[in-house]
Amino acid sequence: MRFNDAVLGAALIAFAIVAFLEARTFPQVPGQNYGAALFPLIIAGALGFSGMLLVVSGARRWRVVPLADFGDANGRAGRFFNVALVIAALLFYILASEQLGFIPTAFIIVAVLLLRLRGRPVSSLAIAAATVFVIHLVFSRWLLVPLPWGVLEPLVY
Amino acid sequence: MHPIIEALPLVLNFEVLGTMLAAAAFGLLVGCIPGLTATMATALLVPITFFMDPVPAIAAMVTATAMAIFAGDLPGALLRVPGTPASAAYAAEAYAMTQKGQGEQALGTSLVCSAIGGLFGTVVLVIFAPMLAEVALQFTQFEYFWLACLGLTCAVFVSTASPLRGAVALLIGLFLATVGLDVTAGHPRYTLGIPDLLGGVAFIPAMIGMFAVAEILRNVMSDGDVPAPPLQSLLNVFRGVGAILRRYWRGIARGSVIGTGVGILPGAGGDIGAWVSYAVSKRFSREPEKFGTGHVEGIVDAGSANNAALSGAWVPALVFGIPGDSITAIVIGVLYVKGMNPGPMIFINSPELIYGVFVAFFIANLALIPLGFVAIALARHILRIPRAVIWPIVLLLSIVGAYAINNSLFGVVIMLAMGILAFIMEENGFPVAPTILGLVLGPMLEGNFMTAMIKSDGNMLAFFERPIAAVLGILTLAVWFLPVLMMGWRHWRGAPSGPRPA
Repeated sequence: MRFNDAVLGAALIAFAIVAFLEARTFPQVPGQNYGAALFPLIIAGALGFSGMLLVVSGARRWRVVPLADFGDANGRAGRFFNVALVIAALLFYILASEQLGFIPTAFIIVAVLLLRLRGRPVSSLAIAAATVFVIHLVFSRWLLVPLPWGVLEPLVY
Repeated sequence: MHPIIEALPLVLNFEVLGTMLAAAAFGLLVGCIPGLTATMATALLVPITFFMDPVPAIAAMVTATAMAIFAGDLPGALLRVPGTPASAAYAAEAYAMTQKGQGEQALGTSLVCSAIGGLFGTVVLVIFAPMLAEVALQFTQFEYFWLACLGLTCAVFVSTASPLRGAVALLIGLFLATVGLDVTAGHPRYTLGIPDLLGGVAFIPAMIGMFAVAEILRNVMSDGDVPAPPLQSLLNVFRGVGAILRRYWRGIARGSVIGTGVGILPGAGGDIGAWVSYAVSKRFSREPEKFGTGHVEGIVDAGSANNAALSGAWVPALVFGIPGDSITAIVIGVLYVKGMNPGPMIFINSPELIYGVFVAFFIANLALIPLGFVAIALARHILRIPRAVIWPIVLLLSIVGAYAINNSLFGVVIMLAMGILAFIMEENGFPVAPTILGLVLGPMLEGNFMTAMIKSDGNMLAFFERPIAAVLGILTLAVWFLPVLMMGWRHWRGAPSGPRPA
């Protein structure tokens, strides 16, 4: 995921403008000249300035560096699917773990990623089960982290 | 009695030593597996050490990182793939030695040099940190403001070849640090109406995202499995090492000094220390033509340097609360979360913690020799673990770690967001070390800046009135404006300015 500097710079400028305008709305404390807004305003200003410098440097190499490039260094776009899958796995955990419970959610994530990255269904499923078992044991049993039980709750209590 | 002797029982007990042994095994494993870094080892350890007392928690991190930095040499020598970035400088050199049948010598030398470099850095830490802390006790907001500026500026310049990219990375970190209730008026800033953000961007999930999730994303994108390690005896690692050490003792001294110095500079750690001292070693060598062909001299220098840098980074971290590298940035963040603010007061309020850290450093670097020897013997087996198995496991560990800090799913959300951010940044040549420094130092920088502004009623000259503040301030401004002046000078001379590295 490489971008031309001009694209990154433009994104930074847009972000800096939003941050700047938002900081302008922070209230002043009566009787004080400097409040919550001062530091964010400075940071936003500096971000915007850096963004402009990036745009300039990107524009110079406009013809050489493409606007966006989704492959890896060797241009194999298929690898990008792996990145998307890892992000999807995390989103799935965030959305599903409370209802489904830690053990099923984690097993699905690890199993799917293992199957995608190395194939070999039998050993992948076995490794996934062992991983989830050990991590659940360490964090839930020993460190007392309340990992959600979800659908397994009736079996535990 | 010297406080360091008083601190001995704090570390020399079953609980702490056991923790250190487990952390050592973890550090050796992580360092040995290419793609898993010492910083990642620290990040993944945090959720577990979070539940411990401060001394064993910090001892665990010190041990794990010292081991990981050495263990990074193993795949470097055996496969030409550095286990951590700190070994990248001389991985090709060590591999060339292995191809000549001198793999044992390469690893034995780097093991002993790692331990010596680490011990040297520790001695510097033990001698200078308390002395500097005495000075730092007299600092006011003005000095701390400039010190933080200088540290962050340094991080911008040393972490990458392009100061602009370093600056953007730093500003992103500083911006993220402003999220949450502000220090002066308690007004919520940039929280998007999410109550979880009122306390700011949760630090530990953020850095698990930046150092573990981003690393997973990068590896699944470009990962080819590493080749199988060569079948070569790795049991007589200390044979001939004595002669090498005698011959190149200057290199050990040079590497240790350079490494410690680079470690003390904020933003630069073992990886940059190793590159610099490898280059210096070649520059001053009597036989520079042998470098790159499997010559042990550069390994002596750089192998000492990366472990020395690890210890050196703790000097500014403990004395000023300004981290010397990403690892100490994590440690400082954790100390803040635990309510222990690093800085000179910690030397007065909890000296046992400081001296406990010193003792842990000595023990970890001494234990490096026997444990490193075991790791060398086992390296071939560890390196046979297929890397495709590692990433899903690390991902699950990251999820649980990010969740466990506040028992909140929002930690996983922050981890994901920061992971994607760091991944895109690194793909585009932006270093992440300044971002993590900005995130850690942002509240301190803003706090001191606001207090100083209110105290001086906005008079910027007050920032230069106290002598140390004036020196630090002028130094900071000089570093900021020097590149601009240099560019102007080059322009004036009519010399073409070189192409900017991407």
